[in-house]
Amino acid sequence: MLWRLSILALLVPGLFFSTSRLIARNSAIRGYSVHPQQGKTGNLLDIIAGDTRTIIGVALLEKADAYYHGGLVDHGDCSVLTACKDHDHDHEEEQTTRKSPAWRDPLRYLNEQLQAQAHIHLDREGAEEILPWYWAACEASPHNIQAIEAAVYVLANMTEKPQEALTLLEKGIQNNPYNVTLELSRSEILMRHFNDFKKAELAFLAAYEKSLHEKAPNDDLEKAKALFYLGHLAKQRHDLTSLREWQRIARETMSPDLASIRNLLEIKE
Amino acid sequence: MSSVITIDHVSKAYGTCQAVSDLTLSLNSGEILGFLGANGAGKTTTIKMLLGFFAPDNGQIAVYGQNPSDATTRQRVGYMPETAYYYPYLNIHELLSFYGGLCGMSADLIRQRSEELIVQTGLEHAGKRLLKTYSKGMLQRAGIAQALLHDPDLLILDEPFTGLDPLARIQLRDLILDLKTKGKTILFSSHELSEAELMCDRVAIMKAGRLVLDKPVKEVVCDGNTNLERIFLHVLQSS
Amino acid sequence: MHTLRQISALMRLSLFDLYRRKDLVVVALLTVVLLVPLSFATPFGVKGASRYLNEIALLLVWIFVLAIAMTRTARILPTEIESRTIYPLLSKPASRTVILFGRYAGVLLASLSVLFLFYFLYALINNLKSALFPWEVFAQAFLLHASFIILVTALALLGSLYFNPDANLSVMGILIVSMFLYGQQLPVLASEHALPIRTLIHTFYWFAPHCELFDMRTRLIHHWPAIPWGVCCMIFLYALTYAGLCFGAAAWLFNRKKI
Repeated sequence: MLWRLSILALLVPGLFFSTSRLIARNSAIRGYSVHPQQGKTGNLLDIIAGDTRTIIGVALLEKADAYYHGGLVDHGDCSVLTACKDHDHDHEEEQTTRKSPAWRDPLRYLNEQLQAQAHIHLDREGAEEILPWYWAACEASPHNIQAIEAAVYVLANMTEKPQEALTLLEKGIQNNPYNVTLELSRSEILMRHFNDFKKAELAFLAAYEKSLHEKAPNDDLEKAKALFYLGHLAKQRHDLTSLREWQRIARETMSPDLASIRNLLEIKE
Repeated sequence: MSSVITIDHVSKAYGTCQAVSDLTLSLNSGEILGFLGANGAGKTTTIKMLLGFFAPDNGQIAVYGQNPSDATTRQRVGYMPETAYYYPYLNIHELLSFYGGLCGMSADLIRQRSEELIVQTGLEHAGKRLLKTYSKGMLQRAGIAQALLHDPDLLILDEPFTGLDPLARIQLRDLILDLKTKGKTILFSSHELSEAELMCDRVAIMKAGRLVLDKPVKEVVCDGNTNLERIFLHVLQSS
Repeated sequence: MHTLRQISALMRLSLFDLYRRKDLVVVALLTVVLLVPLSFATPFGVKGASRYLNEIALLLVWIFVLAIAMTRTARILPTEIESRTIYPLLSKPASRTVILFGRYAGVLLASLSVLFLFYFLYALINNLKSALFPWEVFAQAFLLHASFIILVTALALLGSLYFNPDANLSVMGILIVSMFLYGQQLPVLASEHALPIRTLIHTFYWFAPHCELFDMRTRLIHHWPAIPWGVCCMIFLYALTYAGLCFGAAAWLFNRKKI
């Protein structure tokens, strides 16, 4: 009950503040696609919030990104997930170029003085500050894959909590049974943080099988990634028959232009 | 006797409704005037103009020879409204302290006057109770206390007997008569004709915004077989 | 002296009003009910997150203090008129401007005392948790929040002479939220339109209350450095000037109002 109350307490101000910020900036929600609800779970939040949960979830995710940037709201396309890919740019420059002289528009000048002066990223020690917003985003919208992915990244890589990341992924997979991205993330966590290659291979296999399912979005990159790891892990345990089989499937069904497929085909026996 | 209130050919309309028409009336120092009339006769509008809440459309009003909307004029006037709803979250001491402050009285003077008036109005047993717990009659008494707080020379009482039980009526009547002996000038509007007959020196009867009678009570009820109630009905029906 | 006594009496009345009506108790209880479960929350089993709690606490402070200040101010005159307490009030030897100022100052004082209480508790809790409490930013945040309350209450007072309390609160609510969200976007919006509308938007930009200038929550939560005190004072002066103009207009209208 206490937790339910906490969710509501986070959601209500979150809805008020974050969604209004989103609307205010009059922009498309950068980097996050709004997924329609794929089904009702019949719980209290579904009854109260209905489909607005998706919007709230996206808004809370924006909030989390703002926290990652030390409170800065206008941070371009930079997010936790892009940052993990060696993202590097100079926001300070963006901020200073926007400044207008005080005499021309004092109201704008005063506002600029109040806004962020520098673009900072939270370090590992401060990363736990983002988690409540990711948690609320995931609770608000269980089908928001971006929120789950970002939370998993922070948990596994910034706060050294891979077990929590795995639990979140398993819950996410339960709620989104045909999602390949989550299955791939789970495989990677198992492989990189737990060194459990056996389970990881099974998870990659599940990801590949899901990618073939008609309900799964047709994403060749994810399919190729799953195939590459399946081949790579087969090679690692010296199962050459399986490796050849994955290479054959890749050759016959996938485009050789994809880097993962090229890498798979290049694996030597 | 000097004139305290001078109303000279005053008219006031609310849109198309003529509330007061060409009213001329005066009230001398030390007099008690019963301002009578049926509902909607224009009594309350006249009182509001006397208090400077708004100015007349035509004519002149003076209280102690001054504009009634001046703060210095109101320093000499005490007013008790017809329906007295006071701040429900205050007790009578706090209410009187508030009004005393508005009159610019010192804290000591407010305390002294409040204690006297609370006893005079019979509210001493309810001194600590919030006004929201008061009955209508008790609120009327609180209204009288606030009107008398700054010891005004002129008292304007709008329907002061409404909601009072017989004992409280007698107490209020005695209080008003006591004030008269102290030289205060009193104007009160009322439907209580018997009270007016007992207390007033003069009565003024309004009908549809016009003054239809303005005479000393003694002249009105000189015939032993009649009373103010009969005269009132007669005047209203005939005019 | 006379006028000061009158103003002080009117201010006391507003304080009694706020504290006797128990609004503050309700607000305090609501804050506790919302914040206590959150303070024990360990999202994903991770302890130590505090900024979100600060953010929600400050948001609640903003909402509750604004609600108290606006509802109280919007109802000053309508309630006096509706309950007829205005008549004995106006019959006393105080000018209408003094009555209006005293009642407004009382509501303002009551609202600022609630604000102070909330900020004091915020500082107390945060300072107990952290030795590096940003006192300078905190002082600026309080000053600007107080300035905001001064401005919006004066605006609500002016609105109360035009609208009934509910309409007044709705109009002011929409205006405040809109200015928070779009205040700084208006010039951009104006540049996207042709002349008559552009002028209209520009006029609105210069005359509307810029509520967004008073919000220092992000600086406080994310430990940004303080803004220059000169800027802080300019915003404070902006609020005082705006409130002064609103009060002047309200007094002019109230002196001409038929009651």
